[in-house]
Amino acid sequence: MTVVAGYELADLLALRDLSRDELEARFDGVETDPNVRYERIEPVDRLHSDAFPGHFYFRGDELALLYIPRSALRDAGLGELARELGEPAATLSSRTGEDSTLYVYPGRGVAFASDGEQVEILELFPPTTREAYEAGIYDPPPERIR
Amino acid sequence: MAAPARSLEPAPGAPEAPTVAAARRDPAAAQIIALQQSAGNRAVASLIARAPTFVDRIGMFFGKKTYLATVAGEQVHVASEDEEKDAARIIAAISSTYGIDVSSVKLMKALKGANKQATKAQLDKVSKRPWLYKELQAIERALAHYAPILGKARAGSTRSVAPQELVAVGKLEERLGVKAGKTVFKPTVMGTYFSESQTFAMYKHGETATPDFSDIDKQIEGTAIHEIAHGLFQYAEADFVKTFDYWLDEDTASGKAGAEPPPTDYGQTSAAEDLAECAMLYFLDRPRLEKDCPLRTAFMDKLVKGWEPEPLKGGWPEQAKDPETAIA
Repeated sequence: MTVVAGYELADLLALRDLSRDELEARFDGVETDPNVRYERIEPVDRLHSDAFPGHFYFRGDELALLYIPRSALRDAGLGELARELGEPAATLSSRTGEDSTLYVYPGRGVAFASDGEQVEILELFPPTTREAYEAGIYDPPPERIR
Repeated sequence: MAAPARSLEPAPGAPEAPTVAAARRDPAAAQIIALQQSAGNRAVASLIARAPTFVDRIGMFFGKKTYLATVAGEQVHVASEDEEKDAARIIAAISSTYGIDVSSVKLMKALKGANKQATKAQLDKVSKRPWLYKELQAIERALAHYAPILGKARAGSTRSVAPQELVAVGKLEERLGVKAGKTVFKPTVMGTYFSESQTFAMYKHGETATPDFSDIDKQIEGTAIHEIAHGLFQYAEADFVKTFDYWLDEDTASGKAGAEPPPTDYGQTSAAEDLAECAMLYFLDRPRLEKDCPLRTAFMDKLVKGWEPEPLKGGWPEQAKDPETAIA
């Protein structure tokens, strides 16, 4: 059982199925930042509640991505998460650090970044293909020069 | 006959001279100081700043512009004895004034320590690279921008509450690191700050690459300012993220339209890179930063001003009236 941000991974994945109304009913004090961008996904609305440590990006009534930031991932076990998810379909450069890697599991709708020691960020999205993830969600960081 | 070496110990009760403090930190500096004290400056200059050998002179006669000197344990390309002497001065000054060792050996250890997944063959390939004299000059200039929070001066600043985040600098051929899950050499990296070892690196690529400034001397200084900022401005990163709408958190842009963007494309990578890019431009091209990023310029002004402790409220306490303690 992998616990991430205080939730079992399966429970976090289930949050992807919530509609906007259901999300607002489930968490208190949901606030919305309209017309923003997450990497390559735009325009989307970002919904956030102090009752949950992540940010929900909605395109209309459809969840485009759930982002869990570094500050909420201190309890996430890198080894456990990697074991549960298995071999990634893609390993990409991550914006989270010069030596960090983004491990992508598009079929499961999961990607996480790590520097080899800790889980830095976690993305949950509707299952897709590697090509669609790279074309529609992932924004490659500039080549590290310093 | 060699004159007896004088002791490096200060007289009892006397304040420790900066050079002595430097010598305590750096054995190379200690050797220089001991030689200066025993043989005099002129003699020392000829010893520490090794004059070009016969072979060097032949090479220069046939058009070579520099020769390789060993200065305080570091290899440096210099064009003259004056440059060699000045390289020795810079290395000693960086240690004594800023509390930072110029040590490519320490950097090699830092880089190897940061690459836990590297193979032995990769680690064996990590190698030092001789400094260019102009790189040492650029690093000295870069450090001067942070002078109030470095070395002994730090004790008189608001940053005295925390240990100095930077203790060594070195030069290597190439950066070894992780790229998309694989440990590889990264030949296009110009500099790195290693937080675990509080060390920063300059690499071969930085000798010629000019992504920000057409003047290579300014570019090298800019790269050094950027790397130093990763260490010395770490304490300000959380406030930086909170201040700027552009960032949702340290890793992720908010995606809000109209937020003041970072001053360079590279600064869009993360809030830490944004802040380091701001530092580079703030110290080297303030008009550009002011024009493109007025809010970031104001943040940098506040940050740098914040190094100075607040003056005592209400002024100094009144002079004692007691005749026995009053100063005439």
